[in-house]
Amino acid sequence: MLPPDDKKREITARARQRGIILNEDHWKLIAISYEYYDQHRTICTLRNLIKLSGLEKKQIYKLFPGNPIGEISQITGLPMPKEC
Amino acid sequence: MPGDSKEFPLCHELMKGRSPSHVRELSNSRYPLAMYEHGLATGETAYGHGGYISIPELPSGVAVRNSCRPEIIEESAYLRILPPAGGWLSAVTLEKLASCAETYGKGLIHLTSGGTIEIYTTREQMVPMVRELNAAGLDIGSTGNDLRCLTACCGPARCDMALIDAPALATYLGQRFIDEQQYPGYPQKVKSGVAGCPNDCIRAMMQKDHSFIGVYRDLPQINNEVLAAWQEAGGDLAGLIAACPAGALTWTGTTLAIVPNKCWHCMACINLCPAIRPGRERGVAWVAGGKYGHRGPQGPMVGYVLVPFIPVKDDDYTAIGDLFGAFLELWADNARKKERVGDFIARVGPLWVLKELGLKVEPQILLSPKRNGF
Repeated sequence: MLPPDDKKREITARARQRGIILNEDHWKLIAISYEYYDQHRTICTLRNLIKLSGLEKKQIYKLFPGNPIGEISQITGLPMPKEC
Repeated sequence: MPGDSKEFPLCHELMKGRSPSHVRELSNSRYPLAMYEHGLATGETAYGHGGYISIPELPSGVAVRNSCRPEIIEESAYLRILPPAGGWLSAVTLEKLASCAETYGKGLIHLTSGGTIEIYTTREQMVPMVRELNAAGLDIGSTGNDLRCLTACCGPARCDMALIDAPALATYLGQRFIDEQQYPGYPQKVKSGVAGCPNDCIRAMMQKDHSFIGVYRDLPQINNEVLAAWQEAGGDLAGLIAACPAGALTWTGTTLAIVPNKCWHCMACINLCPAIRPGRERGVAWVAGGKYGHRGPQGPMVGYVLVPFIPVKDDDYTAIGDLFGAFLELWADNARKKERVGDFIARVGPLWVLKELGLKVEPQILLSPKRNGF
């Protein structure tokens, strides 16, 4: 579930400010985060993100360096999971 | 050296005497001694709470300690380097570490009680220093909610008691789970240690979430000729028999014997008498849940002996690695936020863990769940 177009532009701009140029894999993770948020009202933990995306932890760290869940939260504006 | 005794009088006091002084080491580096002096003067450290910092190229292995005296230093950032198993460091590696500490850091290296090596530096110098460390075959990690470095005793490289090659097992696990050491993603930190024999010199059972202890399953071997020579040289046979915690040693009048069903397979008699050597059927006991930390409902605890014997043949550690990996997944999927392995096992029960992992349940796990590895 991808965010609406105007939100996508906002996310792209925010990501660029944080030094991240979004590609297909980034959007896949963002879509998963939105889908998870829709059901749980938070984004998922890193472990859940690994399971839902099928990507390796290492790849996710490359896409969103430092703290992947924190970065996704900052970029999308979705709330962090309670576990973090 | 600190400028003069008037500037740092309390630090100077700690440099007196013949025993090596930590202040001498600090003062020979670019460590801000004013911070330490301030702590000594006020009776309270000048450093504040620390935390893990996010540097894009370095997912773990970087951290910072905050300063309560920003006019002296703003913060104390450091890199945590994964140590070679067993604590073996060649002079060449030490020189490389020293060169990195001198070039990029404050000329100071900290060998931590957890087994890692820390170099104090600044955030800006971290990436170039890591590149140089990588070129020398070293890497960073072991911070945050990840698999911490695997410590081991010195093993058969130097010790005559070693039942398994502890550094080799730690290196195997370290190589296999290197991503888990460098990319945090667990509910809490996981510390691991490998001890070559039940003497457990590295205190893995008490200190580490996972410890693998070298054990033997058959009886200790007694060489009666060596025993006679030992007695002639003044060996205390009565003391030896009394030292057995299980009362398994008996003297028949001519020979020393071990009562098989009494022996705990510990190292008490082996440590005391050179005529008694460990049995030949060797393997690893898996102990999980040890911790010194006071956080969590259980507080400090000794680990649970979950599997008393995993056979090790021809230095093949695959079965141990599989078990370790399976447990980490199980724990990570089911643990609560910030729940250490010991608290998790105490909450769900060791039998549940064994059942989920498809392992055989030994009666001792219920009867004496925190008994030592033997």
